Amino acid sequence: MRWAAVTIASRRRAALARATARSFREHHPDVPFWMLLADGAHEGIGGTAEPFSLVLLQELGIPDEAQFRFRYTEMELSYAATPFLIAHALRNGFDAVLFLKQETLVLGPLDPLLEMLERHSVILTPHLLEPAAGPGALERERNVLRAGVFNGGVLGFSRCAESSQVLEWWQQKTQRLCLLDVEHGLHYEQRWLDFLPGLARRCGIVRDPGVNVGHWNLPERRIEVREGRVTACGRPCRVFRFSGYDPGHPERVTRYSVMRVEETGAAAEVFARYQSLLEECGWRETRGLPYAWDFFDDGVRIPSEARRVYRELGDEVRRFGDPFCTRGRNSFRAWLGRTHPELMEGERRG
Amino acid sequence: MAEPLAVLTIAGANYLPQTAAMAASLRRFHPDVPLYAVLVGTQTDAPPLEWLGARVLALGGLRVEGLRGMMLRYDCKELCAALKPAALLAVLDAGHRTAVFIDPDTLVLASLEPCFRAAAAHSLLLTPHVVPKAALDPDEELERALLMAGLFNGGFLGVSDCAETRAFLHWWAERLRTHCYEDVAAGIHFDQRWLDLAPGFVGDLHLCRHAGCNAAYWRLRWIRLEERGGAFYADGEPLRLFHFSGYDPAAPEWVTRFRPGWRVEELGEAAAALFRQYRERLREAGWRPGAERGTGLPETYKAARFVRRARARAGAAVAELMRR
Repeated sequence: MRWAAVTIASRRRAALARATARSFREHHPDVPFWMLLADGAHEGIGGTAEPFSLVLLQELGIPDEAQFRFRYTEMELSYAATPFLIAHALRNGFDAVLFLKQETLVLGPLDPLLEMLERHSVILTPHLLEPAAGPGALERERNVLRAGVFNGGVLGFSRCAESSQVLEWWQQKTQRLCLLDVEHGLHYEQRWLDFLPGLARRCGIVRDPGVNVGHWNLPERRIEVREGRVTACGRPCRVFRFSGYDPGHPERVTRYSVMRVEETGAAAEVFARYQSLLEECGWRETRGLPYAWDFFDDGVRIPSEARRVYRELGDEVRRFGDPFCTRGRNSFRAWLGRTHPELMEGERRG
Repeated sequence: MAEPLAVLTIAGANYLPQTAAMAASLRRFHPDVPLYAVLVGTQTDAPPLEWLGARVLALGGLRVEGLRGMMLRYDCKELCAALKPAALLAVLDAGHRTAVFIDPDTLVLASLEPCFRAAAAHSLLLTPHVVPKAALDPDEELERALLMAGLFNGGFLGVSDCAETRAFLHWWAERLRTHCYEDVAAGIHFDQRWLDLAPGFVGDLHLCRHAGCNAAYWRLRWIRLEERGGAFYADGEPLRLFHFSGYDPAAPEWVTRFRPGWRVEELGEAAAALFRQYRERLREAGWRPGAERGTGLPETYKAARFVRRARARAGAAVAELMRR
């Protein structure tokens, strides 16, 4: 079976993609690893020394790509591109594709996931494999219900009619509705995954406690480290996720909770390993890089309110053409200046 | 020896005709399958069900921790939903290896044997609201609603006795003791949204994908409904269980209150005939226009209204306080 692993990052998160790619290469040196740069091309990212092959957004053939880029913020765009990248890789001849979201460390071979993909069109990893335990258990379960039952950090698709149908459906969703609006059931690209067991007959659920360990299930996953080998509940830990981890604040598990690394027992060693890998991968250099699509073509920053106004116009936006373009009376910028003058006040060239 | 499989339903007093119609339809195809019923908020109206051979489980006989608190904090609909796992456990405790829950607002229209067999072969059987065809022809209004209400339907599910099933039911009961109401922003929709966690919690989960099993308005866009020789078919297979979710016999021109403005006559001939037939069966079971006399709830239930008003007025903080 020809397979590949893929990930997505913007420029300032490129070091995270490097860390994921390098940890993946340790276990699968001969398997292609693609990194979609969900950002403008940059000379410092994608050279021959990179542990990944670079993919640019324009290669994916996203319909109305300029609108897609304008609709979303940097992080939303990184998430929304997920089904497009996976479908692109499957179209390019791989029999199976594993998606590993940024903030992932591969700690062991991923063969069990590949074996599952021989029998399934799609495989998903639930956030929780058992009821949450300990203080805040109810709150953690409710957070999962709000954010999505399956974690968007480890996904697998095999090439078949069913997976292409499901990916096309998911693309339609993230094209417009990759947003955070929990009061209306939306949580970026991830909440849509909850539909997959209903939409795909051959949807497999990964119930291995060693895959997709993260802050949402750390209290249940007994982490042990012996001679450098990490286990979760006694099983080899293959994928550890650092969702919301900030290498500038290595004492915190995630920006999503108050949990401290020193409270996580043996897992603290895994966090330390990730931190030093991020240092090697140059997170300090990449974190300051600007996001290319935060600006109109005259260099003026796009206020996030303008993106919201744009989204809410729906199909009407077609008449503006490329929304980043500021020339002409028919541009979105000109329209925005006429209808929402307050939004552009004080915006300067970045 | 208890029968290997039994059916369970739970209904408020205002749903007795629906319950009786469902029970009669089940009897027709499964005369030997025991039917257990939990009735909430009534004693006097129970006899019609017993005539149909239902074994009525008394509320007080269920092992429900904190039942009095639940009676205070929940209205009738919430309480019916919250009792589901405890009632399923009671059926298993009565010695049946498999318990299948069926909502009262349903009709059994053909043998449920394939679904019963699947339920008996797995720890947990659930029906997803959407079918694979929904990927090709998405219904965005429905999708948005399901994100809020839950991906699996709580109106039809099966459990078989084993450690995994019991652990799941105990966890579900514990959550529903305090969190069985509607609060989308908090990730809660009665008993149903909790079921979304089942693919993680239950290894031996089976998803029932028969087009004609637990079919309802949410599936009508994708299944071809036909009537031949007095029987109904979904995509050429027998229509086994139809769920009249949100249908009000007092407003029979509308399909469901969950999708206002959708007329029964728009559904096509077979579906419209099915809805007419359902209303007729409800009449036979004692339903009359204007017969809704409230829920007949005793005073303890009425206190829940006060709690709900407080919840609405002062927001979640007060509600949390009163739930303790």
